Amino acid sequence: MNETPDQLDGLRAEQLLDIDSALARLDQDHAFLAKLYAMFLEDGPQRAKTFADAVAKGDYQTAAKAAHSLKGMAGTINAPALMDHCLVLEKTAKTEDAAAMAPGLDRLQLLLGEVTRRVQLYLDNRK
Amino acid sequence: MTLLPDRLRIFVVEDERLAAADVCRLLERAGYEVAGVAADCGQALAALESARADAVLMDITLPGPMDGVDGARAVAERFALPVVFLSAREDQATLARAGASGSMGYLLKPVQPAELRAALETARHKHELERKLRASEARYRSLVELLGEGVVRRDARGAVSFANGAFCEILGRDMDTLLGTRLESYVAKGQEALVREQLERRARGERGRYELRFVRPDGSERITRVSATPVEEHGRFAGSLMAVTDVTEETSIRKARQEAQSLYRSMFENAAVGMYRAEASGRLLAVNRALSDMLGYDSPGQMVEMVTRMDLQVYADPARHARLRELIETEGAVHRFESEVYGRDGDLIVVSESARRAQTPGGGEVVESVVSDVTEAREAREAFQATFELLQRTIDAISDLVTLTDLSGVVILANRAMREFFDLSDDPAGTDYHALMYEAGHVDRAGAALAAGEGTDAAFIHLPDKGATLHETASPFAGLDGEVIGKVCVARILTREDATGRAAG
Repeated sequence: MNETPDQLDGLRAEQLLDIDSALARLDQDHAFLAKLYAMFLEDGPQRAKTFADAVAKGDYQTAAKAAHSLKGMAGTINAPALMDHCLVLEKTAKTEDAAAMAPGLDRLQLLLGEVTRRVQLYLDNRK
Repeated sequence: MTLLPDRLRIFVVEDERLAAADVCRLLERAGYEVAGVAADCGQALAALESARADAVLMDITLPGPMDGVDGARAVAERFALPVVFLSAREDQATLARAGASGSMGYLLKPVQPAELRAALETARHKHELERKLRASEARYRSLVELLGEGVVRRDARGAVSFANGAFCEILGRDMDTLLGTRLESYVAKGQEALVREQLERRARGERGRYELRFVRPDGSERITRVSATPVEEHGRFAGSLMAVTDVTEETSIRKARQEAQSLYRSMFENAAVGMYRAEASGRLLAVNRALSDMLGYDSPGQMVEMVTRMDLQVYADPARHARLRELIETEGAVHRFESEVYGRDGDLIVVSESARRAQTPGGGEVVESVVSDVTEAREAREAFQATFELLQRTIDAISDLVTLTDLSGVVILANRAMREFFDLSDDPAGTDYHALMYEAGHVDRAGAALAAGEGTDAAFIHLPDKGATLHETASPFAGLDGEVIGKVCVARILTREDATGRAAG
């Protein structure tokens, strides 16, 4: 089953959400990984919204901090593509370049959507 | 399994609950204890007051006025705890700041268990080393302060980075004035280049010892002896460590001593009289040119080399040398001690020496002697003595009373007849001839003058005590230069009983 958007076709599954690496790091502790994923589902979209709102208001400092937080979360759950993109967004926000922010924001929604979809899928499969 | 004997307590500063939960679980799994979790630096610093933490894991980007880099500095300063940073990918500027904060390491999210353990073990080890180093530095510093010697450290560019109390005292300036400045500013005019050149030598890894003159704020100079060694840090030249000894007083004493020594040496070498210095045993230590010339050696050096036993090789009579040493030993000095000594070619020379015992600076004892060649003087004296004795025997053979006086009438020489007539001692020199001859008797010069030649006084003298009448003539006599130096008086005994009648007649 592959519902990954066309725009993310070039990315491998482990670049989007590397479940195997996460489990290896956590000594195959599926329960704890599920706990981390659950936190991500709550906090991730919230940081993304903070970022989008701040960009809309031209508050780049808040935007940079939100991108940084999301980057940390993505890193912790082994979502490297999202982490890399958040780093780009954090840097772009610090340059306060409004024109560059729009395409970045679109790709953030796309990547975050795909990562949360895969996280949700993992959690659903555990039930 | 933990690598640590005791469970280390780690305090976590992380604002994201997801990352915090992750790292706390990793810590517990790895055998550490979580000492507490804070979401910003303010909370963390407050909690650390009572948290009994051994180390801190700190996110770099944190909400609030202090980010993780500021927080790490505060933690190190206030609690002296090692800090390991937690971070997702950071930009270069943040990494540079984090690197300069003195933290013990850096963990990238997602944190790997092995990396976490390695980072914390390394942090603990490095922290322990630094703590020991600081303790040893403190001990070393207090030791350096105790030294009487000045200690100053220059960095690779030549600026003072440390100076102890003794060095500040030498320069007459306090530490705050010296720190960060260059030593060139404090040295005597013309020594700036030496200071720079010495630092270049340290940069080449060379040690050095040299003399440096510092000028104090009141303009006075301090002469110092510097012993410097290069300092390396992480395999690179990091400056110079200098031990500075104030030798100003020592130098002026040394200079005075050198001047005295050079004066003495010049006097010794150029003196017209012979001089030598010998050990108490008699071994020659030094002789001057006058002495080596006197005894026929080519040079003072040759004489010192050739003469190994003064008593046997120089003194004709070893007993005489022994006597000389004995006198020096008991009296401390001798004056005009005459001895016969051998010249290099075997000639006998008569010398007169004045010698004394002297102390060397090292505490040893030597004999110093001034030597004059008195061979000619002694020969002359002996010749004079012989002439004198011949004269004495000659006049002793005369039956008249013969006396030599000086111009004031004091007896120089008298013959046997004269000595016996007046009951004089064998050596009547110094007797008053006038008192003897004229004052005790009746002198008639008028009658006697008729019989006397020119320049000669004549008199009839009646001496009632002796019951005798004498006819005396007194003629002047001259020295070798023709100058009259005395009189020759010859008195013939005319009568003993009837002198008065015949003389009058």
